[in-house]
Amino acid sequence: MVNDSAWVRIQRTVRFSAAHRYHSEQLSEEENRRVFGKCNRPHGHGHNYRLDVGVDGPVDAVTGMVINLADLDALLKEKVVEPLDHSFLNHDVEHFAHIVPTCENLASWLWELLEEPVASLGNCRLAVVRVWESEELFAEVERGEGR
Amino acid sequence: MRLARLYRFEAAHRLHTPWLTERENEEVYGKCARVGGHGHNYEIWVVFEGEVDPRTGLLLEREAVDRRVREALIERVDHHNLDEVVEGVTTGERLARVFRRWLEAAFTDGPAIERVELVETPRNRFVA
Repeated sequence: MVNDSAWVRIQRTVRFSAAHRYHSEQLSEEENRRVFGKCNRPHGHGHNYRLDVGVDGPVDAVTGMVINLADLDALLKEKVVEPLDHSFLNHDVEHFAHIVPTCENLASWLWELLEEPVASLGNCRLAVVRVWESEELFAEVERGEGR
Repeated sequence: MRLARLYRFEAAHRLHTPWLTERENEEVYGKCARVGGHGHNYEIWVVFEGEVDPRTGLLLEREAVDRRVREALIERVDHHNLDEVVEGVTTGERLARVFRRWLEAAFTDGPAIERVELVETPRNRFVA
């Protein structure tokens, strides 16, 4: 056994492809068009999303791992990839029935969705969730104040 | 919550400082000190931090922020010689800090700038 109590962050990436539409029930049609532009078009559009999940924890003295990546993969597959891949976020995900599935809201929701199950994987905790809508835009929730 | 946006520009520069002799400049900066200068396809990540507007679900409106970044930064540097638009030596470190200041001045009433990451080549990134 090697005792190394330093905390390490391990980060895993998964991908899913999904459609969405930016349209807020709290804005007028004109405001929706102005704020969201093309993203407001009625029939939606889609992205090849990328999700980075960072998990912090001490390195286990026996396994040399923070968590078993196979467990994290299984969790991400069950909670994220299976339900979201080839879905229409506004229609297929209950949370987004009345909330705009922006990159920001998607990141917040994924944090809430993953925080407890990640902690239950072992002596570790969710540290960061980063949702990439394209190569040029991502939203990031990191553990910190209030989380 | 943070939202990060990537912008690109192409610019020339030369690493050279009057505080060093010609010989020292060559020793410190190597090829980067060559007289005619050279250029890069720069990328810059601008990372904003703030609250999401509950009505829109957005931390910032993409087109509005793009317009402001273009005015405050991209138009000033794209296809320019950086040594003519930035005071002092144009290392990645200094450019990242200068560009962050320019952006902060343009976003005083908007979301805070948490960091900028200037990518000079795929092998060097400067975070300020």
